Amino acid sequence: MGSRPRRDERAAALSGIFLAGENPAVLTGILSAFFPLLYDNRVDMPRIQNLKIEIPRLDVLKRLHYNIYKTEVSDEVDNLIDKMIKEAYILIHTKAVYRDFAVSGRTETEVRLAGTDFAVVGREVGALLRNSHKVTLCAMTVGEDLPRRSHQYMSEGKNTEGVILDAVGSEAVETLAEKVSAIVLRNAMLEGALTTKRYSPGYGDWRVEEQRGLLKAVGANEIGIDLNPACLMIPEKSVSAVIGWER
Amino acid sequence: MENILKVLKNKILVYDGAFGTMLQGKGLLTPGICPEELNLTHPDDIVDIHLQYVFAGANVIETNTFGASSMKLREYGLEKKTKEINAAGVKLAKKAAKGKAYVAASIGPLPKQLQPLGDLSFDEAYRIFYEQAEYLSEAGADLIIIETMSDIKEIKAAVIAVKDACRLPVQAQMTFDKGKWTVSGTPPEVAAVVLGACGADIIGANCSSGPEDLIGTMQAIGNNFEGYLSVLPNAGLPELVDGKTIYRATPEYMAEHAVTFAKLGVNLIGGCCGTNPSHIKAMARALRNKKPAKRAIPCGLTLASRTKLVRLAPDTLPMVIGERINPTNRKDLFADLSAGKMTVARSDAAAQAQNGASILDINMGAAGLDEVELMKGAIANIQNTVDLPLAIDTTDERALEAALKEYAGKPLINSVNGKKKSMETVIPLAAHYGAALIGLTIDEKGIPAKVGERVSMAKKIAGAAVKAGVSKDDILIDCLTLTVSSEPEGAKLTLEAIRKIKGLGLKVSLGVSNVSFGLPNRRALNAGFLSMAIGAGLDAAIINPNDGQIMDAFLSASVLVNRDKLAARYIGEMKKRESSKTAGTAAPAKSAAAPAGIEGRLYNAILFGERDGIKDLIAEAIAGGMKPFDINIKHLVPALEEVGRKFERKEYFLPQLILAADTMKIAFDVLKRKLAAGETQKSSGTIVMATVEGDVHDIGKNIVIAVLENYGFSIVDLGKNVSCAEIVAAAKKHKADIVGLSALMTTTMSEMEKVTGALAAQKIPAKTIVGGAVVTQAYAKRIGADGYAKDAIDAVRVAKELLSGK
Repeated sequence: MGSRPRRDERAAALSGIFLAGENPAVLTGILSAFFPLLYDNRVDMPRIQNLKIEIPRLDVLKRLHYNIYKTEVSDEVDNLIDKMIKEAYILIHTKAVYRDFAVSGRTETEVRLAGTDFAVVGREVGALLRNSHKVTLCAMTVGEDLPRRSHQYMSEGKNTEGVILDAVGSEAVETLAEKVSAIVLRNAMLEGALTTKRYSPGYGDWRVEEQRGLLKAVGANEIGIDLNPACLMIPEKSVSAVIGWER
Repeated sequence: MENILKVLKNKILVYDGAFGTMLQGKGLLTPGICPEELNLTHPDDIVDIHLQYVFAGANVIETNTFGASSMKLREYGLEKKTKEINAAGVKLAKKAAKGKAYVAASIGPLPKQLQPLGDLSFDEAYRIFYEQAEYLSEAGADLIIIETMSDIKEIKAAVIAVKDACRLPVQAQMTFDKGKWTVSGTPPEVAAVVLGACGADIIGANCSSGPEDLIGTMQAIGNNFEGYLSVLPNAGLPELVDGKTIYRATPEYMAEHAVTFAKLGVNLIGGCCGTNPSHIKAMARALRNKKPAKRAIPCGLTLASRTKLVRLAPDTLPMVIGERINPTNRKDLFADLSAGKMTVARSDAAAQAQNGASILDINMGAAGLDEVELMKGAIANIQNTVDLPLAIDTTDERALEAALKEYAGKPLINSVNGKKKSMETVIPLAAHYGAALIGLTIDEKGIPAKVGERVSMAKKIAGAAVKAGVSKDDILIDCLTLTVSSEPEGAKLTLEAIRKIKGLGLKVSLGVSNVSFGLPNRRALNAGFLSMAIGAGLDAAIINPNDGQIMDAFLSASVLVNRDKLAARYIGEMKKRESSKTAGTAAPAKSAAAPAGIEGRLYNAILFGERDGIKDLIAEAIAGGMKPFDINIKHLVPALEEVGRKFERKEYFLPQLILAADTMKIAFDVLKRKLAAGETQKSSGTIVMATVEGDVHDIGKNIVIAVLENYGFSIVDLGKNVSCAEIVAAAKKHKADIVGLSALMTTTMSEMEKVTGALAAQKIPAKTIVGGAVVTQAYAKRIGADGYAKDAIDAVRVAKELLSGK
């Protein structure tokens, strides 16, 4: 996944605001040091699967270098894109897992979480989470059937189908990630909080190698997401991320 | 106090506002605290908040038990106190209400998602909701409010559990993003229909956003539910200011909208997040002496999937119930199901939806297969593939109940019949799980020979269903078809029975294909009979929507009985066919506009990527005397170059470039075999291509290969995740002119440097080109690569440049 996060306008508007004064996370941190069980949010590790997603056609086109002013899409390719989107709906098996963690401490470049050794390390992601008292770590995938079919097309000489299906898969997992973000926002709202934008290892100075710890903390192997030695997620069309809660 | 449902007939009641923010205001919500435990530790504070709302004018106050399910309390190690916390919640609210306000006991969502969205089973969720409802009703609540739900299946489990656990009125509320859909995609009209069928007395929305977004939501619910409506909006959209969440809506603004809701016919109006006693006070004042507006009563049979509502009324288009998902006489489906797969069933579902089905029938009955498990799997898979409501087609009571629990919507049961056992088992299940019902006019004695007997059996089934709580609107009667080859009067009898049963105000469905057994050209007979049945008043046809002839009969008959208003559906379908025809012939039309003759057609075949026609076209050209070599150099290559230019000008996007390359590859494979020895086009050079070690993304590399091959380069594709040693060895072995390397990630990019270093160290003369998502010109330079290509067309340019300098 080489995609950048979509801009979350609300979070963007917030990024200019700096919280001075009391930080609830500090209190949370102190309490959690004494009562780790109370703050261990891992009691439940919500898993979501089969979440239905709508594949955004225009985003698929854009991913394939479509230019709305210049590109003239032929009927044949247009039909092919419809066909691949339809096929994708049958190939996609959405799975997601997320876990909420209280923030137990922080420096400018590190956000430590209660109940896990994993810490979020990076100046940019640290700035994003600077007001967060809690974070959700999440991982999601649209499964291995879609990438497998895409490779199969290519090995049959149908590169066009392969390339389109690959782009459809990328947009599908992006859409899934948006859905999961919406669920996290709902969970946050039930506790009177709002969420930051979604941020993944590999963005900014958050090293992609950190993905290993993140996936372990969230239990991503439960939904079949694995990492190869170069820190690429298998199945290919997967996303891992952090979302901050602020109140 | 008088039963709240009686009071609601003539009066609007005002609900209280937010509880959480009030607790926060008292400084009680320290991080990690369980808000419901405050019922035990800070009872006076809880009573105080309730009192503030009662003084503000609330007629109904909510208990502090939103998160007091045993499952949620377990997160705080408090599950053993579930009963105590819930009972205290009701007791404290009653203490504040003093008989002047109703006490609504609150039940919120569980911390885990239900299957298929999560792991939690319907039964487990049911058990937890049942337990909480039991504690709340025992403690003396006046009604139960299930709120802030976003999964239709979860709230369905909750409503059913609460109805089973106690006799209190049930208020069921979901939360809709911007008022339109829950996060799992359920719109308000679906919530209304599904929860109404499950027996909710009051249906509404809470939280979500500000009141203005919920106006349309409440209209959608009101148009699809006969009972009472409730709305508890937030005080506007939350905003973060100085790190604190604030809600901006003023009491006056909330009061103004309370009146709007009253005019829509909403019966219970209050507030959710961000509202406080001042909002409620203003709302209560504005609603004083207001009566709920009368609403139009919705009619017709309704079915719903998680995301879509289907309504069948006497004057609406009849429904097509797609019959394909049935392993009987379906070898492919049977084999797939036997292997534990749902691929064929999912494809069948998608195809039938595409061809115009409004409902999909799911039958998983076949010898040797576990129907219960298959039915659960099929429901989970198919409701995830298409958004059409499903009909559960089984004679196995256990499979039926499993499916009803699994289904996130309001399904159709196919079917109950006049047999005593069937009526005693199926009808209660339909009523309990909120399903519509097909009743077959057959009993222990078989299909009655006389029309009158079929009609009285229809009456008997419908009567029993209505008595059990199924709405008369939700009943379809199937009066069955006998085979005309053995029963010449059979079809006429069925048509007569349809007319009579329609006369009773019931709806009628029918499977038509039985009629033609044993006769040739069965499709013609089926189509003819279907038209006649629609003429007699048929409301739902169980047919194969993938059969064009039967669909034509369905569409045209629907126009002729004026159930397809203004022939809109018919015209739409015909237009769809027309446009799919022109899409198929689009390419030749373009060719005709291009330079005439075989030369122009060859050129266009590449330009427009006509993969299917290129082989024949080349054969035609060769038969006409053209030389394979000329075909390639004079016509195909120039076309490909034009494709490259179009791509650079962005007139073409990636699929068009690849389609041209795919077409070129097919053409070139044909031509290679035809080329005389010595005539073979000289290779432009040998390129070894690889995605470097650790990286498994090879799609970009494959695109580059497809294009390079077309430009006459000989490609050695080493694939993905290739080690440095392998790449160097291949470069040596194939005497590569160029080594092309692809990497997508910052973590694998460094492998490229290893390869360029190793090639230099071993003095291999091959040039290197690098590319991939994160690779840049500057990086290429830094690691000593000879070239960097940003895309496939760029790779051709760089490769040509590098080799021309040789």
